[in-house]
Amino acid sequence: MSTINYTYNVIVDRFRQFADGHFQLRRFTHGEISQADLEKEAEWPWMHVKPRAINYSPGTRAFSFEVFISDLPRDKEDKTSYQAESITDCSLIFQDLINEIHLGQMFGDDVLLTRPVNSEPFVEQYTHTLTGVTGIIELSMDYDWSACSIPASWNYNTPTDSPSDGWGALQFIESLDQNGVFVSLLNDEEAPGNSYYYGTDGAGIKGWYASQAGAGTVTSVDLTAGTGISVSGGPITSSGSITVTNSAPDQVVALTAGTGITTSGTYPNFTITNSAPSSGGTVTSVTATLPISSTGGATPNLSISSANGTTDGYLLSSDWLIFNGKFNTPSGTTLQYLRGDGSLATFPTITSGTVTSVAALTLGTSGADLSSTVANGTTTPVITLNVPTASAANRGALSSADWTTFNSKQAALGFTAENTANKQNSLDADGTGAKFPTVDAVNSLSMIDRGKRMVSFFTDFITLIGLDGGQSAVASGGSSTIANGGTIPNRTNQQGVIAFQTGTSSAFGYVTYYGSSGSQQLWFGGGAWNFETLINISALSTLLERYRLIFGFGSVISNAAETDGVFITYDEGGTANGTVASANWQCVTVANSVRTLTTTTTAVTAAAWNKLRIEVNAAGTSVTFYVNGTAIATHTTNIPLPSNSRYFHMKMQIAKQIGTTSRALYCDYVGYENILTTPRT
Amino acid sequence: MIITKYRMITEQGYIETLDKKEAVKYGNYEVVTEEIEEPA
Repeated sequence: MSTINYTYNVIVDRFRQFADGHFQLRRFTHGEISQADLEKEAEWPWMHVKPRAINYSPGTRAFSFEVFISDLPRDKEDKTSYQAESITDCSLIFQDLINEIHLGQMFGDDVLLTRPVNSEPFVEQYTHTLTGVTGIIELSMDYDWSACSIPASWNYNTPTDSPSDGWGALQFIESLDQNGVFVSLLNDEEAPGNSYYYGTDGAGIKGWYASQAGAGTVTSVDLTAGTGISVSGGPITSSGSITVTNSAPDQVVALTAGTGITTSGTYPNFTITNSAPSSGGTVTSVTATLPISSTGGATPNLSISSANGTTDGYLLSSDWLIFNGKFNTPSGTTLQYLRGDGSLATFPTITSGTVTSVAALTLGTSGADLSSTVANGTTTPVITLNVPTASAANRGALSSADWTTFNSKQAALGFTAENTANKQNSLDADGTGAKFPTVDAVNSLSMIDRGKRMVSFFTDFITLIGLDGGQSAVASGGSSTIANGGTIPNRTNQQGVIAFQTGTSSAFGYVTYYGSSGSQQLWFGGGAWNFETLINISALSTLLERYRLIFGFGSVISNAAETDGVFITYDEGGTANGTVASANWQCVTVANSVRTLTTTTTAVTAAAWNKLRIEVNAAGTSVTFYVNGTAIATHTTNIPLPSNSRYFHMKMQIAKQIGTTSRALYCDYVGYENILTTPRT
Repeated sequence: MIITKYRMITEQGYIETLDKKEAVKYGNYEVVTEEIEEPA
């Protein structure tokens, strides 16, 4: 008989010792191989023991194990050769195992290896595709079936009606009927029935007694306090007392009866009586008298309007403020008066006298103006009024003599009186004779008389230029033509019109109409000068068809700049005579090439008749330029004067600057005059 | 011949003078040179 109890744990430990001592095996596990084969860093060859069965037979106990000896051959190059080598190595190890069990000291003689032992190679099995051998090893040993050493204590007496699970009702008498010994309860009953308990009755006698139906066991008692009640001492779980206290004792209640109501009784019963009930009835309609009004019916809406000057009603707060702000009734005496600020004041004591009589005015004529005096002003006033006779020095009454004089004066003329001082001087040689009383008187003068006083020229362009009184025209790339009546532009009352036209072959053609054959024979300072013309231009000057116009007095007949002159010019491009580029009329006075220029705000218009006029005063110190009767500029500087040896002639010109399209200047008339300050003898 | 003038600027144009002192006294002026024909 072995002294070693070879339990499953001891046997597996011996397998582990075998693996640890074997020089080839690198690892040992036991249990399910699917769990042991999961290690990733395992080492090979590997021994694994899996339990299969433990069998008991008379005198013998057998353990059966499945043993795996496995390796992980290289799977590169010659794979099958490595697998064969692994099977060989693993089968030799398996042989070492069974040889050691059978003949070695692993279990000694106490354990027998059941032979034959079968083993079986396997290739690429399990998780790591292992290769090796597996075999069944069954170990047998002695077994005595001993129950003495069982660490237990049992009661095998089971109830007679016990089901298979061992539970059931105990038949006490029978269960303890063993070996002739009986144990029983006093007054026991085999079937006491439901709801019976074994105990004592009121007399202490043991036996089965019926319990009260539905009764249970009270384990705790407590009270819940209502309003005005407090509870203490609860809950009671065994013994004790609970105190109940009225925390809001009864209060004294008293009823007070109003008018027409009586009360009686005591708490908790009271009687309330209407001691003066109405005569009965129900209000069905309510009316109202102004200023109160009612909507009528059983539930009327009563209202009152605000009062004003025509309607009674309630007083508005705003009116109340007004009324409240009014003066209170004065509380003064008859010797007082109410002042503007509402205060009372006593009438002052009158210390002067009283007018008792007023006489009629006393009239006088003294003094140089109206005046009056008063004597005895507080008693018997005497008022004197002085009214002197009106004169150049006195304000006063109109005398009858003066009235007659005034009444005899000239009645209204009915026309504007004319001052003979403004009449034209007589044609006396010294110019200081009596004024002509009428225009007719002037017109009746002989031509020679008029010529003594005036230098003048006028042409209506009825005749050819060379026949109109000594004026001349020069054309360079242009022409001057008496216009046919049908070609007069914008014709109204124009008779005799000349057209100065630039040519089409040259961009610098011009036409100059001038006086005195180009000699600068005219001069300012000897009397007033007037120049006037009526002109019409076909088209305005533009950038591509540019030209300029001159009207007045100049010193050259070409299109060169004027050395001396007084003229109105249109020079849209600012091409000559110191002008600037402008679409407006420009005025120039120039003496020895030193100029005064005014660029006006009056625009030049085309296809319209425009009257241009220049007036020079008698001394030649002021020039005024006009367009259609409106003064557009006045110059007082750079006026050519003979004192500076500056002379000129009449000049009118159109001069082309850019482009070869013909441009036309139409002229209805042109004239000038010089009213000599000193008539000629 | 080239003359030098002093152009005194006015609101709507100018007034030229040969007297520089007059121009300086006026204030707002510019110097202008202009070629003119020789006097006969």
